[in-house]
Amino acid sequence: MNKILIAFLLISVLAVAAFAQAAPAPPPMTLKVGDMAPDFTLPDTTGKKVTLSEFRGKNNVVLAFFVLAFTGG
Amino acid sequence: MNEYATSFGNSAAEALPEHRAQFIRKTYLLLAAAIVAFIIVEAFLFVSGAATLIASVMFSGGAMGWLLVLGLFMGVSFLANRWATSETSRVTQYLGLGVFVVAEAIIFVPLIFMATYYAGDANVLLKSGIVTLGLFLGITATVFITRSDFSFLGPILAIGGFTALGFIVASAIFGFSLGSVFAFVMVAFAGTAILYETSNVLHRFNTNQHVAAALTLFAAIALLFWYLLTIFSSRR
Repeated sequence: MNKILIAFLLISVLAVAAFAQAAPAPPPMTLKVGDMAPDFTLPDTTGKKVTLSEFRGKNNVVLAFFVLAFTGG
Repeated sequence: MNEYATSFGNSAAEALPEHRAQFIRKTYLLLAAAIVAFIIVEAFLFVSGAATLIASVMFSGGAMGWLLVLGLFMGVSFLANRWATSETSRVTQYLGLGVFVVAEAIIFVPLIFMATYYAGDANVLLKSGIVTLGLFLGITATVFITRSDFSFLGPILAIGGFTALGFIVASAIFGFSLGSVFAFVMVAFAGTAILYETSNVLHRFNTNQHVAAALTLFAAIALLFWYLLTIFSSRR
């Protein structure tokens, strides 16, 4: 077996693996338990835009993601 | 077939004992020098801040930029490997090894960034390094004690290498994770490559090919370190 082929394969595997893993790292988590949540706006299940700050002092807010539920929001 | 059996010299297996011993000593001294150089270059990249620049280039740039940098890196690595295995001047061979070591140091930058970030443990590099060294010494001792010829592993490594490449490329294109099982399989693959290359040092390389032998061993060790670092950085 060609030794050069094996050397090239070793180099290629490492190179491709390196570039495959070079995905953007998520930003470091700066929020701690008890901190005020940052404001955000997201669509609800009917597609209506809802902003977190609208509920301040009025209701408790639960943020839930239903993956593959195929709802409008 | 021994593709190096040309006017380049005799294989280590057929050489006189003193020539063989000298070849083995030179190969492992050069390998040790390459590893030390890798550590120094890597440390320099991180201390100088060049690592941040390299990581930002590799982390961004889109698909085309990514492929361009990958192509450039592989081109440089292949050229360096060709220089190191060439029959021409000794200077070209050493230059090839030097370029290869620098290229490897650059390609490790994103992984070291991510490994230290996700593991939250600066010792993850040390742990991976120690396990890599331990496995390398164990495999080397196995080959030198048994004196077996492991060249039959070549076709297995070729098939395994192409399969691994296929999986890695597919995971990058289709966006799925290969998981820790793949990393463990790749540790076994890199270990097998070290076994094969060490056996080549003893039986196949010619006695004046210590640069080429050191480079291929270095490439196999780098691959082993890479996947051990991947495993250690995913386990807190």
